[in-house]
Amino acid sequence: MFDSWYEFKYVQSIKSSDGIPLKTHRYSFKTSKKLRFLVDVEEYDFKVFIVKFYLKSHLYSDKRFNLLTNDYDTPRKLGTCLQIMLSIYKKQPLASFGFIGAPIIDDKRNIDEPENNTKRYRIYSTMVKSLFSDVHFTHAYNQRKSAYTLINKDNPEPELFTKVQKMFVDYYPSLG
Amino acid sequence: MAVNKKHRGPDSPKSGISKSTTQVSGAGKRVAGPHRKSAAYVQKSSATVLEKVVDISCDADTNTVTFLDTPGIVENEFKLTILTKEELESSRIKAYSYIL
Repeated sequence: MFDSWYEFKYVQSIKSSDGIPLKTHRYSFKTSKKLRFLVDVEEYDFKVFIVKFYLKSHLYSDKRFNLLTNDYDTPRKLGTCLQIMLSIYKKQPLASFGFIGAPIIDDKRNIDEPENNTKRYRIYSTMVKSLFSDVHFTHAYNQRKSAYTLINKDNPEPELFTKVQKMFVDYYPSLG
Repeated sequence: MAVNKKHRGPDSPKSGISKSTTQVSGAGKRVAGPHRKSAAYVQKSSATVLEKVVDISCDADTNTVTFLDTPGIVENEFKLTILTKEELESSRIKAYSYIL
């Protein structure tokens, strides 16, 4: 299901003025329906990468992670994000990953999903559980906040798990 | 006078509906106002208030209630739960092969 993907290209790395995140690595891909998507991979301390993607035309919307594109192409788009994660892992074998399944907001259909165990979280977490073993990564989640992390077991950073958890709270105040 | 008549809302005396009060769903109080627009505004505000009130933490031992959205007062609750090997196995789609 997630074994097909679109060709993607690296666009740029953007440094944050306040250092949070350290950098945002931007990738781009175009679907068969000619929709251009952006994948922002935020790099934090301890080689933690948070993956986010959205339709390019929603770039300036504060709901860009919440909106639906209704293109019925989710597996291939997720497959593309997966390949981007793998390309980062190849370059940085100590990388840990994380994501938050943003709640769906659809004004036309009057959908305003709560943040607990969102539909996106259920799909994304099932995908990573199915494709990433516990050999290289510790799987950790917070269902109430629809957050999921793959913490790299090869990273020698002491108490990495605790640090990643604290980092989530510091950088995503809405999670607390 | 004709202009005024044209702009009268449904709660005006001539419409046959009492203009004195408007019941706001869930707000628990009656709000005065001749226009539906004001009622809708109050209803929206009440919903926001309810949302905040629900987000509280209760401690039966100390008999205290804390508002979770009050910065600096409540300890952050976000905690990650580690999946055990068994949990991971049982919740994955077994038809897929691990890529890592």
